[in-house]
Amino acid sequence: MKIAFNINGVPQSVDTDGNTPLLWVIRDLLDLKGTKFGCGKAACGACTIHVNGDAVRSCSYAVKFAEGKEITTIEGLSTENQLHPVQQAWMEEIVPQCGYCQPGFMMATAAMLEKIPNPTDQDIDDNIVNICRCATYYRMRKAIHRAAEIKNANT
Amino acid sequence: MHNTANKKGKKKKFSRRKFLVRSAVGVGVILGAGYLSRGLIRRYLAEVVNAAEAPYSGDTETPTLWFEITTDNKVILYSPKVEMGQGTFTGMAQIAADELEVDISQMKVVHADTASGNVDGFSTGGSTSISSLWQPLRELAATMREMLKQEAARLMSTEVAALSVKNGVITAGEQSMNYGEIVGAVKEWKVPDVPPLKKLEDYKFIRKPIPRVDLLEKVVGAPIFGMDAAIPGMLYGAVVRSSMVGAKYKDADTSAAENMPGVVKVVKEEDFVGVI
Repeated sequence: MKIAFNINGVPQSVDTDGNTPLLWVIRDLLDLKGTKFGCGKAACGACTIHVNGDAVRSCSYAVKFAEGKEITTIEGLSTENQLHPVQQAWMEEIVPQCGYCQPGFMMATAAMLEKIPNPTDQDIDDNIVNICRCATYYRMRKAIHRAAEIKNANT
Repeated sequence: MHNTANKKGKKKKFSRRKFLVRSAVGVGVILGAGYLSRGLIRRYLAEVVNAAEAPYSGDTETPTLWFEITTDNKVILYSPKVEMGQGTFTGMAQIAADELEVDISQMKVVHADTASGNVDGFSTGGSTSISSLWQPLRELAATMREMLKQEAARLMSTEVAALSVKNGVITAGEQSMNYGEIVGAVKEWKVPDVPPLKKLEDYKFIRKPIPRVDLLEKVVGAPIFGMDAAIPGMLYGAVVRSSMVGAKYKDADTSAAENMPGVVKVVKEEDFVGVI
């Protein structure tokens, strides 16, 4: 079936089985490799993207549900010349180690900050439930607080 | 380990390196090196004979690609070791930048692909990457720096001794050329003997904490992981095994899978079924 949506601000249409996970449409059909495959069952969050601003685990989200929606991946988080506050904070705190899960964490964090501009540690625990095998959680927590600061200073 | 001190006292000189220099398509020139001689590995093994470590054990005969200098005066280091979060790319960049006389921001480290020949048979592990590359990588980088200086002296009609080097720019009095300009102007390279290495206290990046060199790529979601690799005509495979522990695979009805769209072939192996 034909499915049309906006991805990172660009109108896009794909012709594929409607039950294909959005993750594989993004990675294999649209060649945006920043979104990662982790567990394939919405448990780890490596594949987190935004669908109409909500953090969604794209490995378990059928592409047919994306019809007419606004999708953002890690490639669309920054603008042409400016990293997103979450990415800036991630740089400042030198968060990534291997880096594989980080796009998912950054997308989850960016979505949370839209709803909770000043998250507490409890908010972070409740909302950022992705998994990082390098265990970068400590630096991530610092970076999330820092991202909120940068974002609030910009607005 | 008691023999180590004795052996260190009579280190053999390395034989002259074989350098491969070839033109890159479009930009810059690729400088490669047939690197680690057998002598080095033997010596290293002798030194760590009692330690359960293995050094670099890649191809030591064929010239392999280590460095590429681009026209915008950046250095790409093709790593035989895998960066998996331990920071080995950053360590290698520090080591190379210090002997190459470039700023750390001019270094980019990427995984060497198999076609480059710079593949380490030992693979990556056991905290051996930096310890095994510490000596050879400094020597390789120092030799590269001297090659660049030799050519710079020729191009600027002066003596090597009259040159000073900083941030990949070679200066002789009023004149200067950066590494990118030099590699663009040189057709044939002469390979000098390995020059003396710098003293530890003269290193600017080694022994200093610096941000990871692969930070930006990892923050913007660049396609740097094995799973992101794509080659023309690439197919994907997946295997199915029994879901029961200790089960013996006898046969599987694969007719439904064979008729699914996109399936090229279903392969039955001894203890699993593969779908391509």
